[in-house]
Amino acid sequence: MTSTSARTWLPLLLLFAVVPVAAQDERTLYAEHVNIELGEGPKEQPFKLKNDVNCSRPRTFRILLSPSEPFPEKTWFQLLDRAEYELVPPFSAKFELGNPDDVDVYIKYDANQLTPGTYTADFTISCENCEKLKCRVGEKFVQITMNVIAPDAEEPTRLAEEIEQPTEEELPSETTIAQNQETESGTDSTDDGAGRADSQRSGGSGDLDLQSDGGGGDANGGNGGVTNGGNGDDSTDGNGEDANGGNGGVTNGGNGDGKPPIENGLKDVWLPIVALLVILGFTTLYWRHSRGPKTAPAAKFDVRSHVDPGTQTVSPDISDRARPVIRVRLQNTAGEQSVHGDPDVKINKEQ
Amino acid sequence: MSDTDATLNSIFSIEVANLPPIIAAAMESTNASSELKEAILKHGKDFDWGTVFGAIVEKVHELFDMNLSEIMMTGWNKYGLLAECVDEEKCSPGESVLVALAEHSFTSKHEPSIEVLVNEKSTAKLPFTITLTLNLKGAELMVQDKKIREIRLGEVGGEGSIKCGEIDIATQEFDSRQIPGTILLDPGLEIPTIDKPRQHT
Repeated sequence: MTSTSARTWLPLLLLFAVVPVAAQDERTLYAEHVNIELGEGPKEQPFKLKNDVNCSRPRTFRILLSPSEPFPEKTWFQLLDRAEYELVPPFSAKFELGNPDDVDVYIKYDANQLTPGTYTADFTISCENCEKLKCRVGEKFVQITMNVIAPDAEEPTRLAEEIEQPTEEELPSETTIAQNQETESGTDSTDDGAGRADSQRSGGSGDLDLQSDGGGGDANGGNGGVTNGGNGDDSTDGNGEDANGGNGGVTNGGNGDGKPPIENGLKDVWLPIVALLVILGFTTLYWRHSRGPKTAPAAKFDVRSHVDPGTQTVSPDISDRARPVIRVRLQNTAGEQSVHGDPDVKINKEQ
Repeated sequence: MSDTDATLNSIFSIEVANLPPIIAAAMESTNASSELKEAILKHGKDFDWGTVFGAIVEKVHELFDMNLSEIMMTGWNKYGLLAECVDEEKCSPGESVLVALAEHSFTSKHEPSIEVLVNEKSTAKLPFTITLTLNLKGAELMVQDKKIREIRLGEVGGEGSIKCGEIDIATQEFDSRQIPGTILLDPGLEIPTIDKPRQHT
């Protein structure tokens, strides 16, 4: 192949190799620090949406809670320090998020309106601009399961069962990110009924992760444990542990497909990486052969001077007082020439 | 041109090899210098500030290497002081004319600048302001063939200042004194012809 044609295909090849890898980085939007508390009065479920999506324009997200059971009517969705949206059935609201822009999000609801039992709800965050902006965030959801128990329950209740919810149709490369594997052991206290149970397990996910912290303690009668299973491909969904006398527990069941993340993640990751390495190898060879080993061109600086002829003033005006005082002229003439005698010179040529 | 020509460098005693530390310090303390330094340091290891500053100082010398004779002739000519000397009817070729100038004050103000480019892109500019005022008494010019051949300054006093941005980096005062000798200009400074303003009929 000639060097000219190589110049043509090389950038194209690089483009194909780099795009899948770059696309993974574009879809880093996840929520962390999920705390769910149930108790008296309105409670909050805070999220921190970490929005590192590589998209320069603000995007509109839709948040949706789809409860399977009667859900508290008073539910709000709040971006901290920003607007608060009341989630009226079907509990959805839109919000706009710039980039990069981390924001605290709260889901508020009145747990006291819930009678003891098990409730589930799909919690969905979807990007509405994906088709238009091609940011490929797509849609992510987790299923929230709440076990609400009566305040006077004597036995700790296991809060959540492992829930596997098939992930909705996602972009093919979404499964390539498996992250946020985290497990913390819970701490129970059964002494005074003000126990605290933390149980956290987050499965990694693709572009939009929900990462949870363990449920916080409630001042009155203990708390539920929290488990948020991420949207990733792991099979581990957390099981919250109950506190003594707790009011409820919430489990955000992950949407994993039961396969270890490494199995799905590596499968999609190694191909572009290998392709990239091969291309880089070709590129290196190409440059070496075409241009020889060279060091990277260093930045150079240049200093230029701009001379200003300036503005000159003479004061006072002496233009009428500058007079030639001395003139020196050379009075030179051709003079008078005279010749005496016969100027005609004869040359005798001797034979 | 004669070596005897005075330049702003010689007037302000600025030498490129040995820039007075006070001038260097003053230059570095200007806002423009700070901005320039910041811009240069952004390039990390690519540049050493000392090297860049050295190049700037070199240009400063070039900047002030302005010929005083040319500057003064420009000013004098603006006022038509030597208009008669370019008129062939009044000054015939070959004729040497000694023109005596009346006592006057000569002021010249310049605003040159030094621009630093990184990768051909203008990064910062150091603006200078040079003001020079000379009080001349008994100055004489020798003119021949529409060229100034000699300048006799006579008694000269005055002051000069150089500012970099907002900071004075050099000031010089000259007590009025007789300047002996003659500035020889070879082959001489040509006196430009002044266009006469058109008269509307």
